[in-house]
Amino acid sequence: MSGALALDGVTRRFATQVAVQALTLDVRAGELLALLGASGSGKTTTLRMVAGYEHPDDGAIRLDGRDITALPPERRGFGMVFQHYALFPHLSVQDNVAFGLEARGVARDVRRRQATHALEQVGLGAKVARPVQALSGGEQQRVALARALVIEPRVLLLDEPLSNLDPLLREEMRTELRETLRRAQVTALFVTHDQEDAFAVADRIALLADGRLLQHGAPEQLYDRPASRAVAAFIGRGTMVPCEDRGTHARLVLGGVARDVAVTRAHGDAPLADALAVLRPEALALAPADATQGWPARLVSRRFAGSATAYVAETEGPAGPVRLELVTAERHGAVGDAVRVQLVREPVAVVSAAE
Amino acid sequence: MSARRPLLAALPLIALLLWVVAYPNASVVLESLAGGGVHWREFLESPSDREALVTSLWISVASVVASVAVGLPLALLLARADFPGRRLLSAVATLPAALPPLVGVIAFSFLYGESGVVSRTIQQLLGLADAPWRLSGGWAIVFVHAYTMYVYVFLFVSAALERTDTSLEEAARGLGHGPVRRFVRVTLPLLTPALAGGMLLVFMSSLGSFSAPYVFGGRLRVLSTQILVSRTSGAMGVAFVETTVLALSAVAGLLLLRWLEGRRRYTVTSKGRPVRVPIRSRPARIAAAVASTLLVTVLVLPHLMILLVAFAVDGAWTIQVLPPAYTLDNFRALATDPALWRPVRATLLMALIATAANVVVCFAIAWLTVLRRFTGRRALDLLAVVPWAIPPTAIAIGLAATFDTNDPLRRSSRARSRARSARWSPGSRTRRAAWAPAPGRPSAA
Repeated sequence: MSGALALDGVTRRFATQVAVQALTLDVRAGELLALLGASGSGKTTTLRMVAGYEHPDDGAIRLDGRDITALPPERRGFGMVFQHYALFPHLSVQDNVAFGLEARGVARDVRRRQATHALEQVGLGAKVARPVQALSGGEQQRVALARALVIEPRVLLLDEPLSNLDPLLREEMRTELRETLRRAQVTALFVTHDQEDAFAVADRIALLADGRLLQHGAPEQLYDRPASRAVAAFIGRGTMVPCEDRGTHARLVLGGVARDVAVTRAHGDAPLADALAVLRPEALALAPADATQGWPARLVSRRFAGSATAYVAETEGPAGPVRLELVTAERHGAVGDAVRVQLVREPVAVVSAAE
Repeated sequence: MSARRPLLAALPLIALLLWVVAYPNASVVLESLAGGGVHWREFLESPSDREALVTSLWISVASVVASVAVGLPLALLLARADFPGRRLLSAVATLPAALPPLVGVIAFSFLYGESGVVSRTIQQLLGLADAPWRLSGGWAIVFVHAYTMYVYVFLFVSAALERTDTSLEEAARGLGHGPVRRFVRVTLPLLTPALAGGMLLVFMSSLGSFSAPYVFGGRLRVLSTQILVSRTSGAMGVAFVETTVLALSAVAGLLLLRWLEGRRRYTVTSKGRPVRVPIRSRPARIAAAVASTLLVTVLVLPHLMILLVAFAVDGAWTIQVLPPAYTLDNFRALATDPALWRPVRATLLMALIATAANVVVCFAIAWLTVLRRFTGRRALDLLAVVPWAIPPTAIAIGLAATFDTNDPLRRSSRARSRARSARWSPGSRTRRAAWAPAPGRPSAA
């Protein structure tokens, strides 16, 4: 039965720096949570503390309300998929998967059967007797997953599970990973630096920077309602434009044209004094220069990407030139064209210009 | 490059190795068979020869066990734990390898012999009438071997631990395995190739070891000393049989451990940085500090002893614990008396010649066998490993019997230098050493 995990003010200091700073985080039973962040953000240290390989200097880790901070890894009953899989090179595929059952006192033939079953589940039923080194990267990843799942872990931990796969395979494995975890109904915490991995696999994302939690929520929430400038900069692409925050709406003045746009805002929040509007590329569209609506701008770059075309349009903002990124199905714009840029999706998020 | 040119370059090398490696060793075997096997019958029927073979084998096996018992835990401790004194201990851990076998044996008799410094100190402290032990017999030899040879195991295992992916042990831990099972099921299997390599070196070194049995053996017979006895008494045929048996035992050991090593060979692709876990509890830290101080002392003592006796006044040291008077006279004598200086000069010269010859020959062989493909490559490779597989005593006997026209017992320094050179041929292990730091093997003749 999978458990609910809670981190309560967890802190980890290394000799010269604080790797994780007073991190408080909940993972509900059966939830898939991504720990997202750049390298050095403390996400791997957090995962290793949850696994028990690192000890928090402060704070507590709880499983279903029980304090497990002092419990060694071998007694936590968690499954872990390591970044480089950490498969035992001296054991066969089947024995790798059966290894955790051995520690649980499962009889030899029973654990063989269970291991084979777990391998069939991930499509490796034909390769049980192979040495692990004969497998491809994707197959090794599946063995690592089967090995971690066969012990029916309370919590599954995954350290950059997709980072060693080539791009095509990676796309495929994202879907497969989510389906497998869903089917196992396991609480999963997985570390990644890649937001697309996080979006594709996770129910919720915890975004970390410099050992601190920036924001915690569903992928859409982080994208549409970033809590800070740092979140808006890390998640997705877009342009942040100074604006005048008026509560329910914000006034944007670009190229001499003012427009009031609706703002996403939690009820009761006060307007920001130093607001930046977050304009996502797909919320903007191109219109001809003689259109009646939109901000006047000039195209400074164009990149055709098949299903869409990405442009950069330069315009004049309240505090100097602004470069707007936009992605649209319209492909006839050319560099140097005078255009109008229209906002086609509202509301937009506003964040404080202060870091 | 065409396939012919490396062969042309290899031919002189093959010829050289056939001459100095294959020919002498083959002639030892042939000589042992002379007279239709009469010498073999003599060997098999002689109780002292049987005793020598059995003793050689058990001493070698015991030396391997003792070296693993010291080298493996020490390597694990220094690679995985942090404690007061770790740096110092790891700096002196390989010191015993820097002691030539005979020098080590002399230092040991000064320290632990019946009238040795340590023995006398303990005797006086406890008020005993006699020395607390006698450094004599098989176990004394094993003790000396373990001291000088655990370094092979230590170095091989340390190098392997350096390369080991610690996330494998973490994975085993996360899957629910405690420390003992993790060690037995994960760490040890992954260390098998390195352990086999280290054990092999210990086995072969101790099989061929001469100084330790000669000095500490008492009336115990081992093959390497038995060969000398046979030759001195003029039983040349038996000496050739003994030499052959010694060489065959070594080759058997080589094949056995090679097989063990080859069964488990992995390329570890993943990474996990090895982390030293600090020993935290106060009693454990104190115990670690005391233990490592003791160990460092034991490791350094033989070196200090040699240094000390070098300054002792000749003849003045009788019943005292330490030499009572010190002088520079010994060094002065060395510098002024040509008769004393001659052996030193000869040793240095031989070492220099052997090193130079090895650099040239080994580089050529390694370059050809590793980087080039030609017919005869395997033959060259095989010839190059043979001297490595055969104990130095056996090599020397072969060379002396083949090339020395004088009494073989008074072998010319030329033949000895050649024996040394032949032993240093680049076996596949020495070539592998270029990739992973692995110890070479000092000639123990």
